[in-house]
Amino acid sequence: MVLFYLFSLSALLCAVGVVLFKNYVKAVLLLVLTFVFTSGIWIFLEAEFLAITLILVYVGAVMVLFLFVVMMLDIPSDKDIPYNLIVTSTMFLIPTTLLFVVSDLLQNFYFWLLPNVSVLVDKSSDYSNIKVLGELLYSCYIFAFEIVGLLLLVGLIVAVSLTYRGEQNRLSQNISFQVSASPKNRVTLVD
Amino acid sequence: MFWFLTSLSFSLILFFIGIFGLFINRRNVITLLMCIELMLLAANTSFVSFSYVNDDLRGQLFVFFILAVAAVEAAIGLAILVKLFRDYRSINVESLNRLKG
Repeated sequence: MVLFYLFSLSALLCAVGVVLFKNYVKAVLLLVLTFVFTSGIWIFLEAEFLAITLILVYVGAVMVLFLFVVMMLDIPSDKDIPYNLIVTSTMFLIPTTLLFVVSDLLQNFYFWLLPNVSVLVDKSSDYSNIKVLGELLYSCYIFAFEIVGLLLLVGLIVAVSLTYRGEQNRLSQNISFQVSASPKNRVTLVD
Repeated sequence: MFWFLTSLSFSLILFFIGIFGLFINRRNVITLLMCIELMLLAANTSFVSFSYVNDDLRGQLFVFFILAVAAVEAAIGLAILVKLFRDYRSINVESLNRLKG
């Protein structure tokens, strides 16, 4: 009811704040808040597992990663890049007109999007969203699940290989160099 | 059924806020990544609302996959950002002009 409108309005306001704030820590925290409000909306739409997953995984891991990067790199917020007014206002107009056109189409033609079922069946009280999603995921879509696992592995390898700097301020041994030492390289006869 | 139109228009407006952010903050890599996350969130919300209306769980399942892919993409984008910042000490996208493209 009212709570749905409240959540969606707050999420939109936080999203606008994400775009406009120059202090990157505040922008990332506002993005976190956007995700929290959207998770509440998803609970209204009967997607309980996805709502919790959004908070735990997306906010708890990905946004924390954002925060780590922003805070560790200590990126200065640049205040002196001006927004070109003509370009910005033109770029505002195109998405705004698209938005009005699409919402008008949506409100007049939404019956094309709805199914023929006129009454949604209420679920029984021991319906568990996770259970049914798990049954679907591990039986019909197991291949996609495995591919996503591989994708995560590849992402991990890429992230480490891009940012790993090697040993710094650390004593370590290069075993192959040590083993390949021979007396010809090490001992010279000086007359 | 009541919330379908509201959530679909919410998803639309959120998507366009992401696009606005992308247009305005084109030089700023962190805000770019955050606007991409916003757009992905809007798409996810529309998937969830369609799944609610059609009483079909495959919409929610696809959101699951999109979430994983978006997490990987954010991680790799941040790794690129870290590398960029270490080399150039700025987050201006125009520093990445070595290919002269």
